[in-house]
Amino acid sequence: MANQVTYTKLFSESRNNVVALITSSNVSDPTLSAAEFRKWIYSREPDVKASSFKGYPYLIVHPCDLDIEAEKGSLDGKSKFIFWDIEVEIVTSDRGYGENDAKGLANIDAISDDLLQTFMSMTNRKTLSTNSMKFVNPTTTAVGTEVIENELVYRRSIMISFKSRIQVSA
Amino acid sequence: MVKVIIIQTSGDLFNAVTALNRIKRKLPMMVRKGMMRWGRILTRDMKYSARKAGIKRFSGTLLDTGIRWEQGVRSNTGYLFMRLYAVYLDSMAPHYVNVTRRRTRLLVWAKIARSSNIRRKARLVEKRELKSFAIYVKPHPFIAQGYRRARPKLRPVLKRLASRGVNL
Repeated sequence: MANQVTYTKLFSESRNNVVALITSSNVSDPTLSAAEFRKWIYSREPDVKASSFKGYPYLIVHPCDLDIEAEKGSLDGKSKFIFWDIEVEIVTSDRGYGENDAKGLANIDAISDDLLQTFMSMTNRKTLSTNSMKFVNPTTTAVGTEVIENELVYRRSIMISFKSRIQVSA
Repeated sequence: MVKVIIIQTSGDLFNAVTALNRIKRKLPMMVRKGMMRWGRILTRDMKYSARKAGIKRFSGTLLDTGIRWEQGVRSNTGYLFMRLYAVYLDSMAPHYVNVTRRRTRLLVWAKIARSSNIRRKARLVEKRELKSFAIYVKPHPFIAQGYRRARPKLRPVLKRLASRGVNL
């Protein structure tokens, strides 16, 4: 459920709107059936303390970065161009039992597909646009691999930016 | 990275010059901003990598200000500042270190170490019943890992900020 981003909630509501789009049925967890539920969206790296960590795959929706354009505002200074940048990291594991082994790349691609489809969908873009988050522009990074607690993981970042000219003062 | 910028005008040279001047003024500023933003990402990823490599908070300031991005507001060069001992932690050869009363920080660590043998000996050193004892230390490589995580994000960050410098 997206809400209007106003000058009183520039950071919080913009991130909430992104998380709301991801948590709805738009992006599905490839390792779970629709009836199951587990926490898989974080705001920071989850505290992986042992190789028995069962939380893969997971998403990290980082706090948003904000740019307020100094020029091109309204004459009275109450409206300005605002840019939001939000980084969404996808982390999947390549280890599993039986048929679930070596699915890291397949899972990261499936989640990335869902994420891009969600943010490029006209319906979602219109929803965000009516809530002052216009011109969605996702850019992606290359996939990297690393080892966390003996677990071989794949990692990709999707950086989503928005732009809008909104009121920044009462 | 080479980028070609095409400026189209309706034949008005004055407009083209104004647009060029605006780009000349804004583009370096936005690229600097992009570098700062990537610097923050690099710092975050480096600290995470250090934490994952087993470097604990009490071993120094690496998880706080010991790793930070330094760039002046008008500077085109940024540095990832890191305490010297971080480099040693990352790439030292495995070796023995003596735990003595004079090495207070090491002694504090030894008193709460996971190994009961080290804890016992540390207490003996503290009570002066033992002069010193040696522990074997190994490197905690984390720098390459942190850089590998942050590097792919450089291009999208710079590209986005640079395009903002050109578009507006």
